[in-house]
Amino acid sequence: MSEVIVVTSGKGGVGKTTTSANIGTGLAVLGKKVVLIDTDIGLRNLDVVLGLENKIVYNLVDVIEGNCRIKQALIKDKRYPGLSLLPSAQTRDKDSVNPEQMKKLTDQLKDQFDYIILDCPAGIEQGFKNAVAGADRAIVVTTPEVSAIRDADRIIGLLNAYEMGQIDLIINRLRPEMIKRGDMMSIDDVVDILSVHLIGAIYDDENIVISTNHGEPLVCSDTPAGKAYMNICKRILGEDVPLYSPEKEKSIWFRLNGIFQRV
Amino acid sequence: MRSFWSFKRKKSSQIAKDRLKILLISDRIDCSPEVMEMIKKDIAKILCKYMQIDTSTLELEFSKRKINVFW
Repeated sequence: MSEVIVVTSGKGGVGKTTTSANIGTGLAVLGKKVVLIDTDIGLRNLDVVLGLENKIVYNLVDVIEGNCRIKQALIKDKRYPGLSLLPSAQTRDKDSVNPEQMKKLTDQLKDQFDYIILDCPAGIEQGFKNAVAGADRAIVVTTPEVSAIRDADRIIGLLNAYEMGQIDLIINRLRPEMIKRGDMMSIDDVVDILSVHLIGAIYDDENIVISTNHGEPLVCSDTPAGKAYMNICKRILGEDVPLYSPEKEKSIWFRLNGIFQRV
Repeated sequence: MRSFWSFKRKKSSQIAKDRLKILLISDRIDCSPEVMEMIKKDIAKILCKYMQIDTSTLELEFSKRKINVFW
């Protein structure tokens, strides 16, 4: 049974594209057939995050308008068998696609893929409506900041109005030292405010910037964010994985350090 | 920056939570905090007309479909 997942947030710059890329790659690494669709028409980004920007021939709008077959537009990622990308159009308007067309496209892709992941544009206009149209479940990405949480709440309300089957939350860019001194809302605070199921928490990690520089998702790497994303992928597949927290690793180190200092 | 804010005793995460709680309620029912305050005053006025209540302890809980009144 294939599943269509939309990754959305309301607010821009909270990590939707990075999350889409890493979840898509992670699920492919776990043996699933995955297609990532960039639905941000006019501002495509998923291709560069994945490092596939030089391979684009056709795009989403070409497929919708019938200028090419779906297969011609799909870019297979050679590094990860099972992972494909359907890039967005850079020079077109976001109104060139409508929700019915998107739904038809995702339905067609269901035959070939286990997971269809839609990277939603920021905002709640046409692009959002398109991305949500064919989705079975949604992943809402937020950061522990007032503006991002407010937008996430708005998005959750809209997703409920669309009768989205399942809504999960990812809290991105948590900073343990700030949470500890009371200058950042904790995971529990955010979950309490939004009252939605948490599927993962990602601590702020500079490796994300490095991985985007390389155009290589970090989900397989031995980094805090990489591990957190892999855990999210496993949870999507139904596994029960405890929350990864770099704090725990650190606290063991601190405890050991404390013992040494006493000695 | 820190020293500028440090005169406030409350932690900034607590301030964020408090602000969000009010903000999200008004967002969810699509009505501003000022309007909510006006509704609260009007409800208090009407209640006082028919029963003896202490308006200083009157509490109203807003959600999308209902308003709970406590006193």
